[in-house]
Amino acid sequence: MKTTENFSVSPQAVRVWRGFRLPSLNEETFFDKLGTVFIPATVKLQIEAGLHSYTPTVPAGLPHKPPYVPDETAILFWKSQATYWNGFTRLAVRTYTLTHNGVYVTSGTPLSRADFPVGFIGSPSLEVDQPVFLFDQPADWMLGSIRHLVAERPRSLSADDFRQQVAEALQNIQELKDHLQGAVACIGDEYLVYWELGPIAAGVKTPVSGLQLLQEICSGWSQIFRPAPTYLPIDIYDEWPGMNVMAGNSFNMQFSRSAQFK
Amino acid sequence: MKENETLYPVPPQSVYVWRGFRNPDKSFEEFAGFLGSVFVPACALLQPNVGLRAYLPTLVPQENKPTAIPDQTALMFWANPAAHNLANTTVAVRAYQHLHGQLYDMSRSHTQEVPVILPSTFEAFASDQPYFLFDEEVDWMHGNVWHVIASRSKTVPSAEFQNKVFEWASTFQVSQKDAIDAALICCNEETALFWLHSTVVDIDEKYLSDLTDVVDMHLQIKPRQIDFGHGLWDNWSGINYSDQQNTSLNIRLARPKDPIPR
Repeated sequence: MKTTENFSVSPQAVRVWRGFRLPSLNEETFFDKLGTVFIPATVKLQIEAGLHSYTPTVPAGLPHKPPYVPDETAILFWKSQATYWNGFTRLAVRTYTLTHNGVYVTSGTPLSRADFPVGFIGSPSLEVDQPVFLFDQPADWMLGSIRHLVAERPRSLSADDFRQQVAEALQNIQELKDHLQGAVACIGDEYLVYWELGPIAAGVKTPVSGLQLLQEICSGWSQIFRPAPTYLPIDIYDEWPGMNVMAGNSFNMQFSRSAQFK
Repeated sequence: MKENETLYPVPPQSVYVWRGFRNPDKSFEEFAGFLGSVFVPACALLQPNVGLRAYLPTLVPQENKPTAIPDQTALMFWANPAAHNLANTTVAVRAYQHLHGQLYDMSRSHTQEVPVILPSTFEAFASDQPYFLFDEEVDWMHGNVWHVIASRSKTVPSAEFQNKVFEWASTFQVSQKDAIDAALICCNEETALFWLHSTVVDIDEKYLSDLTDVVDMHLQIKPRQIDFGHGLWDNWSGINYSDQQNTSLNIRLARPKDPIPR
């Protein structure tokens, strides 16, 4: 099967990850673990369990990034939510999952976590640490063009005001449904993460995007990422030193989906 | 001959002798649960393709266990002395290695693992250094294995304990060389571990009867041959360690002829 075959899945099928590095790990070690173990293992150990797309981003190490903004974000689409949960019956997925504890803060604050989204239906549906999707339509996030915003809550806004203003912006982004194939957001007490999927439009300098609507609110630290399509031409048993991961990297991992997508 | 019946003898310097102490943050039930559902299966399924040739893990019974005795022991035989480190150049093994820090008290578990030949004098006999008694290539996945976990007898002064074990090993090295083709020992001030292997005799407790006055036996066991019959991506919950049959295992690995990382 070729990587370019389109298999769209529901927006409910995305696991939204916000990871915080263990303080005992320095950034260099963190990047090394991401590149030699986590990012490749996420793909290579989970394709057969139904992983559909994987887009990791590394805000860690960027100048002036506040510590309460995630060090790594990722969206992991699965064939369905059930596919994700069923994955834990497989040794490969259990093994991959348990590797996280020695790298990320998995108890305490700020807490690393992953959650499935709910449909965004206005301000009441936007809750802290509850991801939302803006367009209830299937999409293939491994293909197309992803834009990703990571931002801190401006210090001038209370958490509730921040949530209200982000909710209004998300409502406005929903008006762009003819231009965007998908959008996912998650607000924390201290940060916002947002991904949108648009078509690959060669030659278009400024594609229609919801980013500007959110950037108008996010006057503090923020960064926009454009995940680079990245293919790992290796098997888990190949001699391979790993990826060279650096601050600000963002990848849209390219791989052949398992036979269950046929 | 079936692939799994093919013999792959390896030199005694190719084994890693693991003595694992449970992370005090985890209960024994959690420890056994993680071992059975992830660690032991992952070791057995992720590593043979890159050189693991035999794997004999033992979960040490906790009833009346002196604190100096480890909670888990394991022998991991590799295709050659360099294979273990070479395997770490693969994603599969790096992912497996990342599991260890959470489960074990690494300050106690990370002792010398690679054995050397038993020295000719006690002055050169080091605490917590594994030793092999016979310099022969052996396939530990086949044949008869006997594993003993013991502590110092209260009738033996601490200062004399290791000397008595050394004397026993030196004698055993000569007296049993026709019956036993491989033997490993590891000793410190309070504990002594033994693994014996033979292809000609069925080993039992009488082979260590001369040590009766020196040690208190905690466990004497013949590791049970087991074929998991499951792959990395199969629906499988792993090993049930509440079943005493699984206390000590000699896992039938799917061993390729040429296991070096590609």
